Amino acid sequence: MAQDIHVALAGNPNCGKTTLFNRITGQNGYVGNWPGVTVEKKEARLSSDKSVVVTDLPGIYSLSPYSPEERVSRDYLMGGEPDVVVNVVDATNLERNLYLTLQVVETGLPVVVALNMADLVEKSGDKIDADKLSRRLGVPVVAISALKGSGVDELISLARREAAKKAEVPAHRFDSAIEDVLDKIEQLVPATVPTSKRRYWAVKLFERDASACESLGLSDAAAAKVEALVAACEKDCDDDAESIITGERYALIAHMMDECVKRAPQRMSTSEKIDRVVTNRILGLPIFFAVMFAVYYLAISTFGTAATDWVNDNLFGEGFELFGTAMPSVPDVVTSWLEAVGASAMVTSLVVDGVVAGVGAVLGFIPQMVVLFVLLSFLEDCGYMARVAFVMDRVFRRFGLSGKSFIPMLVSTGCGVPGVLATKTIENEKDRRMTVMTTTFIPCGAKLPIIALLMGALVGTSDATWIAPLFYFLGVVAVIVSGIMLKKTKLFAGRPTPFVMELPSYHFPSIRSWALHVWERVSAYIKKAFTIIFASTVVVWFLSNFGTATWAGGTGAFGFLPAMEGVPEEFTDYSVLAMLGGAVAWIFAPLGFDSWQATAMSVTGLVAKENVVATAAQLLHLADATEADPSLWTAFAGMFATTGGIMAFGAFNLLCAPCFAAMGTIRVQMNSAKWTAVALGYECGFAWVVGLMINQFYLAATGVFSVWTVVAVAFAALIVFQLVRPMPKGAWEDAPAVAAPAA
Amino acid sequence: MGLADVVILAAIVAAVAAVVVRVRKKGVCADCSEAGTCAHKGHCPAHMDPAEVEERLSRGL
Repeated sequence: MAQDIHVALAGNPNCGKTTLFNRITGQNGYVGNWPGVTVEKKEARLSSDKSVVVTDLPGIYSLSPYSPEERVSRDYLMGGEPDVVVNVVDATNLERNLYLTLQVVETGLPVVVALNMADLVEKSGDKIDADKLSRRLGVPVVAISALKGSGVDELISLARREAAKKAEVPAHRFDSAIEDVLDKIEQLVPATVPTSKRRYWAVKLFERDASACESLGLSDAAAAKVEALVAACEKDCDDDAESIITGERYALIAHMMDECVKRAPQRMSTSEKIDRVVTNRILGLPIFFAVMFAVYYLAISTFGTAATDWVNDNLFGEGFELFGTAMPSVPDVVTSWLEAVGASAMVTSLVVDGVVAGVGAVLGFIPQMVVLFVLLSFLEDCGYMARVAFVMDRVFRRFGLSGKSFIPMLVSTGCGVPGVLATKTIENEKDRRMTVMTTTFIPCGAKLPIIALLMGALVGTSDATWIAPLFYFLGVVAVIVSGIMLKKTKLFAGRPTPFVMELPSYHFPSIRSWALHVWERVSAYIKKAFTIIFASTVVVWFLSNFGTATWAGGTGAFGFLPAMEGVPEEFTDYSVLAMLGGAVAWIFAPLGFDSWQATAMSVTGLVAKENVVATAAQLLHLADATEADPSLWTAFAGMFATTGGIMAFGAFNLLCAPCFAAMGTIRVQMNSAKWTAVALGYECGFAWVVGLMINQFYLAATGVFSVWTVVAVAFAALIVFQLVRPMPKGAWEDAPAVAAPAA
Repeated sequence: MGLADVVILAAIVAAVAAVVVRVRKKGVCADCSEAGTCAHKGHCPAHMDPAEVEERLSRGL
């Protein structure tokens, strides 16, 4: 069998590596329109040739090991694993991308440069002479469009050809004075280092790369000679070594740009025109709020609701008509079948009231989920969400936070797990921990059913368009408020990390990528309904149907409650779940929901947030099946004494600790049991305080006061104080001054 | 308890057991956008420390 060929994809963040990776491997790796989406390498085999293994490396700006991504990429490239490196270059930003290209070429590995987004360059009127650039770099250069697939076949064939070649010494040369010094340093590099890699290490030694001496095992005498050579060069050039090499690379790039690129007369592009409005200092934030309002309104209040209502009322309700033929609902079909096979009442209840009711309630929200993700994916793929990060950076920076923290939050709108993972790109440990703690406040896809349930319970059939977006903005406000408060504490004080990101040109997403994006999320939701949610509904059914006959006249025996003699209509009140929920329900009494059912929903929601709705469907179906209006909304609303209680329940469940998967990821990211406890404790505590304030202020507005009103006012005062008090003295002294943010 | 009950209960128990095995194997990341790309728990970034990733990637250096 032929030996595998290893191809590494390297390039700047957001240059389209993952799009190319997905296209050539047939994978569905997550593609985002912001940097840091690929936080570690991904590996897959080429669709057209399984002997080619493609590795998608994290996006980096240089091979200097300053950030975790740069370290990962450099170590991988220099580890000797790839047979060829495909350097993906954003051709619309060639000058900046070439800095990494020069470094990749310097590694001495076989390299092919892929000028991605060549179609956009052509559209702008600019012209890049790929042949000339290839001669200047000494490696093949091919123009491609990863999105449209043009040039990709040629790229693969070039990569295969280069992989078969032996490594070569890089062709480009710096100023002769610098080259003289590099030649001398090369002589000092141990003889075991292959010729093709000697120049790379010589440059690294010149730059005084701390890890280079160690990696090469340079003797003290050789290291001293290198230092003497570098110091002399620094004196001659009147600059430090790193800046000398940086300057030389940029000088080379400037020459290449002059020779190889013909620019069209400068004019404002459509993207720039749109950005003048969308990222406007004053309009940027209101536009973002308006866009997200529209997204949640459309997903939950209009198209999505109509479809979800149809599913709930017909498919999982009373049946429907198809071409004039009456079709039974899923529960009816299952019940009939169970009766036909002679299943007992207990098994029928387990299947119909447990599994079908629970899983069905979650599946019922799929139409809303589809609409939400169609809209969110469009905003991500067209480039708008990258602008939001830029707009939010401006807001965050004012409060001492970094816009870099907003990237994980954007990712979290899909799922908290990759959102927490995306915090890996934040170098400042305090900022990273704070982002991990707050990123799951943003409602993920799994929380959408909770929002829809709350909306149904709060407004019923009336047209209150603001309810659903309100809960999204609650998450955004929770992030900002928490960020400001935490930043003023010793644990998180510090200068914000500078945030540099490139804004991609606006473009209409490819239908394939858009559809894949939506399918990934919706299919994951369906998969979860039939796995975690299914198992949870079985457990909840057992806990809510088995219990002790402790009612007046009961025998005190433990068993299946509905089959017991003299069982009251509300038999679930005697179940194990009622006992467990009731034991901790007092915690939520000040929040306006002290019933064991609401407590059970909140607790099962910690396994997976969809469980809140699944458990509601199971418990409320059992409790209210005889009511005139059996809809889930009505039964759910009936559990609470006031609207304040419903709002508090929603706020608590949306802001408290996330699902088990996200909690596990938080544990891994924090790499500390103490910090994990701090994060989860803060989330639950903050959610409880927000719920308390909502309920108590609602009650106060209706003339009901208690000791909890005082507690809520005290918490509100504490939060306001923490928000408005100036940053403590010396809070920013732990970090060096940073440049203004760029985008 | 009739035969139908035994068969249905056995099917449900088997399905729940399959979910437990799946969770042990893959983690509970079914709703993660990485779903499907991490075939084994060991490869799932949600279960991996960044230092571990670096360690794995820098092998052979």
